[in-house]
Amino acid sequence: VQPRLVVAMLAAVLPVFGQTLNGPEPLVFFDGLSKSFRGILGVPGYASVAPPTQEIFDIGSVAPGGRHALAIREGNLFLVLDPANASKATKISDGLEFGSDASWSWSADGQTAVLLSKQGNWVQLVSGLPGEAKLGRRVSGAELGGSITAAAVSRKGLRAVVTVSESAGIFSLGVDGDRVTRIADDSAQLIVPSSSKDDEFMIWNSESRSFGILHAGDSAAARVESWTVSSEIEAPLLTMATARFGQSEILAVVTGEAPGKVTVFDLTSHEVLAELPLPVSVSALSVLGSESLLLDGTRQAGNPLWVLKWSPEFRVHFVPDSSMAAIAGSQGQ
Amino acid sequence: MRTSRFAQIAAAGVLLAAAASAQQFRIVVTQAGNAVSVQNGAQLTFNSAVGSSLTASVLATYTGTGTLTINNPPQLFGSTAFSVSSPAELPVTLNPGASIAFEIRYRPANASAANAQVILPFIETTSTNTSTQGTLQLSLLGTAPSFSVSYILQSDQNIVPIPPNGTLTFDPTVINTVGQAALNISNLGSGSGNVTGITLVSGDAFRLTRTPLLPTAVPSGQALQVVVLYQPLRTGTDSGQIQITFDSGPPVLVNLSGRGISSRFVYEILDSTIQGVVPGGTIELPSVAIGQTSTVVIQISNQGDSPGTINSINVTGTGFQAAIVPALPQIVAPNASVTLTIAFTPTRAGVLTGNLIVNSDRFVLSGRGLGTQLSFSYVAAGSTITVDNNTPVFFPATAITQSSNLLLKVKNTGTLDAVISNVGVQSEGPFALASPLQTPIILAPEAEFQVPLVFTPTTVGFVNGALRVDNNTVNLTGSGTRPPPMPSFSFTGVSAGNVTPGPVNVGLSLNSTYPVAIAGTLTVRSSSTLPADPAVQFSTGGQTVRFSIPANSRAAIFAAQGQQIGLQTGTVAGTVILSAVFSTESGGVDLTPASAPTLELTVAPARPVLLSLQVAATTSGVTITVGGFATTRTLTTMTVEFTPKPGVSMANNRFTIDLRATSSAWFRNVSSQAFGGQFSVGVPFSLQSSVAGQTGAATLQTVSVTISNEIGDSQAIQTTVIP
Repeated sequence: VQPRLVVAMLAAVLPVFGQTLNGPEPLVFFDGLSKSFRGILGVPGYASVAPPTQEIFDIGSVAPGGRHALAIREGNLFLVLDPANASKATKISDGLEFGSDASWSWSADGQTAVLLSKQGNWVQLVSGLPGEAKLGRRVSGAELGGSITAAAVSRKGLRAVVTVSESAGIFSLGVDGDRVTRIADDSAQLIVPSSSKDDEFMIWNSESRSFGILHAGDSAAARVESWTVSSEIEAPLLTMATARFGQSEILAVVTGEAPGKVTVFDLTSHEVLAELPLPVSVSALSVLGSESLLLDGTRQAGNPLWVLKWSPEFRVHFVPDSSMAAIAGSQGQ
Repeated sequence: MRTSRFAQIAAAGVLLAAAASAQQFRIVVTQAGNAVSVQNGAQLTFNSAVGSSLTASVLATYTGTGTLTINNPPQLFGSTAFSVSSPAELPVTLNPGASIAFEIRYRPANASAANAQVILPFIETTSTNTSTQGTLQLSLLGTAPSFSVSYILQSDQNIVPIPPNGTLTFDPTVINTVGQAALNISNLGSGSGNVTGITLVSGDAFRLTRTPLLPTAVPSGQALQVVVLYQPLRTGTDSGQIQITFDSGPPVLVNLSGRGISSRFVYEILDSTIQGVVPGGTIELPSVAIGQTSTVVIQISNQGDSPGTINSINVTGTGFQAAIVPALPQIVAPNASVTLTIAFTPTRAGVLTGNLIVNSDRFVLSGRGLGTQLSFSYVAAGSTITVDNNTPVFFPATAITQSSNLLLKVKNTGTLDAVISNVGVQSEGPFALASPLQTPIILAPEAEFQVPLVFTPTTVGFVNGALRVDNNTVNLTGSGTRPPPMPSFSFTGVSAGNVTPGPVNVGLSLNSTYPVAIAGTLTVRSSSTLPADPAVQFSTGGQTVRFSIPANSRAAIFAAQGQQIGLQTGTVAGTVILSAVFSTESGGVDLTPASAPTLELTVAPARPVLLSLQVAATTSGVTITVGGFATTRTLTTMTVEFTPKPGVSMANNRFTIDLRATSSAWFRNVSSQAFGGQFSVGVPFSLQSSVAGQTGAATLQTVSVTISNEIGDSQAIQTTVIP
């Protein structure tokens, strides 16, 4: 037993001037129904969706933190500041054509995003957000030897990875897109960044029905951990996302035939923390603030927004959208 | 007439009075009892029928003062139609005032005018014995009338004399029509004559018109005209006689002759065989399919003895037309003929009839349409009611939620089998087939089947619909009356009274089933002394949500949401009130009970509820952000308790912060009303570690927070600090 040196540490704490009291910070999301960025006023369970903004886009995605967003309109890519109010939209597409089928993956700090177009079979990084937005090189699936099935950016935005189907491989992309390196032979249909560790990604292999944690390096990737699920979830696995849960990290997956259910795993223990039936079909999970995920899908006017919230408990909340309900009412729906 | 003749004498006397040189006489001429005084030398006029005599007596009275001697009888010079008688004794001497008389006789042998002169010589001796010779002179003029008869036919306007006992012959005249002739009675003589009578002696087919008031004088050279009409009533010869009488001379007989003629139309149907048809008879047209056309040719022959005129040809009756007709009016000579063509285009199956009318000859037209023909009827109150375009099927008044059934009888009254492929009501509505019909239905002529119809009204009042049987449309009419009251209902999922702020699920259920589908609207509203919380909404957005209750069930269905609808009760103390209105789903008839229950959920004034706690490290310590709500929209204090990591000594780790001022400022702010009772409190803390290079946050293990209001303290919320 080695002797330990015990040092008495002292800490002094005092409240300082500057307390604030206001309403909850709006949770901002892109509403595919109104094709605009919108805020959620209040905490889900006690909230409502703010009216649509005037700025209309084909698709869009809000960066973690909600301070800025990317959106596509008529083939052009825009950086939108203060998306809750759509106060300023700046075109950054630089002559490139962006289809409205693009999907997005953000770094946790919101500075980097990777756009994936399955239809165009390409990925492209956008870095330096929001102040110095820079488009990386557009990397095509053909260049990688197959069809790109998923893409993700690491927590701090230092690395992006893509999965390619035919070549059954995982590739690493430098932030500027100029370095493309095959780093693993793993086959994965879904890949999302870890919410707690840099350069780590969660992958899902539907054939082996297994999750894996992949640590991506410059030239290679290492499978840090993997586990197989059998009875915990139903096929198919449609989408997944990671999030912080106190000191832990959780993985939420949407599975089963529509509308299916959402299952939440503790990524440390692999325990199922919650299993909740879904009221609607969900095709994507988007981070919404720090304690909830937006259950995104094809929403119809008159239907609420649905949110998975885990504070104070795991629960699927509806958020009424009176603006679109009024439109539905006027259209006789 | 004698007055007239006497006047002629008098006039002549006046005219010739100046011709006498001496006025020894006063001369009086007497004729037929009328006497007139004339001068010596006057002219006497005589008018008498040929062969008849007219005598005038002359009395000459000496008006001188001497004596007058007449030795010789009057001498006559001129026409032998005149003769004069001699005085009784000659010579004779007349003293003043004495007279001598003689007679003049006129008897014409012809109608020519006759002139003569009578001279009576005398010697007058005056008182001085002076003797003077003189004469009494009278001029004589004799005339005689002479009548002849002639006629003028309308057809040629020729004047045809009628000899004594001669005949006026009319043109052949169509029976029942009138021919006419002018009968002239002309005076060709030198003197006027009188017609005293014109009489139709015999002949029923003849008539006299324009006969003047008789007797009437016909001056010389003039004529009296009457009109003789001939109107035969039958074919064949007619005869008659007219007698004309005069004031002198024999009457004249005029024979009348005429012949009645007529046309006679004979009708024949020209087919492969010629078939005669008489007026009143039936002309059969060949049977033909509906919409197709058959024809028949009819020949009209004139078998009479006069031309016949076809003035009009009319065809009546649905489906019958005069296809080819001669130009009208059409004159058909005896033994000539014309043809006309009748077309038959049936619009329905079965026997159709019409009429053909040629002038006044009427025939029945008959044709048979080949095809199917459906007729519709139903029984109501024991009576069979036939349905046509103007008569819909009437269902009895029926209460909404109830149904009335009716059997509509469909009969094939056509001539061919009807194949019915489709039977159904037009569009969706209260009318329907009570049970499906197996089609196609083959319906022989005179066969029938029944269509079971049901009327299920959804609205109050009359409503119309239609049943289609292939291309036949039967109009349907019914009336709906108010439905029976809806059963009472209750809210489910949540009970009245206090509720925890947040989402709840609400349902609605009838206490018993109702026979028709119900549509309704559930409404939520807030009642509070505090500003209303806009989060009080249904999950579908807004404060109303529609629902339906299927027929014969109890639970309300909120569209995709199912039997319960999510409702946010909000975070402001007050009452959340739910109410519902109901109506029939079809027709929208209000069913809401007069005293419909409401559901009142109470969000009580309560101590704050904390929902989130975040500890963010700063360069000088940490900032604690706490989210939650207070239904009172008030906060008083916030208590923060820091738990240092093991081995870290913290002299003061619990702090209570007064929030009243900031809370009051926030909840009075209008922008806070968008969040109800929600709040987010951020409090920065200065935290220093005694260890160089160690952040204050690194010294913390956990942070626990409670927030209070006038009601009490919130639950404690705690989080582990991640540096």
